[in-house]
Amino acid sequence: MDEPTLHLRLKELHESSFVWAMRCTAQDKSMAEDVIQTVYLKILEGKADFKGKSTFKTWLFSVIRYTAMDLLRSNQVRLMRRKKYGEQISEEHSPEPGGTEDLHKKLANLPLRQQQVLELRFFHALTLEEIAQVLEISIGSVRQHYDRGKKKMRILLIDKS
Amino acid sequence: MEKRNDKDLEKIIREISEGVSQHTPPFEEVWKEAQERKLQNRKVRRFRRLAVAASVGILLVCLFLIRDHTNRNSQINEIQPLSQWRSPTEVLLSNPTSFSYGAIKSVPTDALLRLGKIDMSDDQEDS
Repeated sequence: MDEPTLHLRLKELHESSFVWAMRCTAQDKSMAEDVIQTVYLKILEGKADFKGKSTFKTWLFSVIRYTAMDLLRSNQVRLMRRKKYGEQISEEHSPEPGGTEDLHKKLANLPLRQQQVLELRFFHALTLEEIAQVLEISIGSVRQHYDRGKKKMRILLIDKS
Repeated sequence: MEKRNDKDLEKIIREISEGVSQHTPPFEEVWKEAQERKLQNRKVRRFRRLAVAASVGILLVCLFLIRDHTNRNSQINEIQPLSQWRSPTEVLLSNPTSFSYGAIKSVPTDALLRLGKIDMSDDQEDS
């Protein structure tokens, strides 16, 4: 794929790429920005090369996931500090019930895989097969995470509403 | 019923993700930064290559110098110790019983006669 086409396609998917990067970095904005920039760098340097084995979006999302995992591994300490800070904040401040922040917290209560599957399915509109490709797991596992995630999310929404 | 629930969930997750997407940094900005990092990385890589080449060169020079130094040391070790050293003219300092006397004895008699070192008169009278 030539650079202008690549540029155009990345631009189209930029917003959803950032949302996905945020999900993969546990909502760390600066880390998500780092991830997106590193992904673009990898693409520019030819380290990540689209070979057309899947859709462009699926490929891009899996590159984002890998890059986020690498960054998370190298930023373990920072993430732990952030978690502690998050806990402190949540103790001091409780979000408005039913508001976006509250919903955000509810979704964050699910295991990361379930959050990822639900977001990929409902926000990024990927099929279960595509989700399996992005997360590199079997469709069976995707289905399991999808069903469990939905169930848990419903319980959380009923409990806290 | 489940489909309706799914729709609700979809709505909620959409709402959450749309909230997140509002914080998306502008594409051109991120792209530009990535391009700058690419150029910077290229420079760093070039510098690293040069540094590696220079360090290999220095290492080779050091190895050569060390080898040269050890060679010179071994040559010095091969030289005879001073206590065993003999002058080339030492032979001339030896006593008559040794080599020099033998050398004199081996000089032809005619030559000694000419030098007047041997008196032959008694011998001639006897004969």
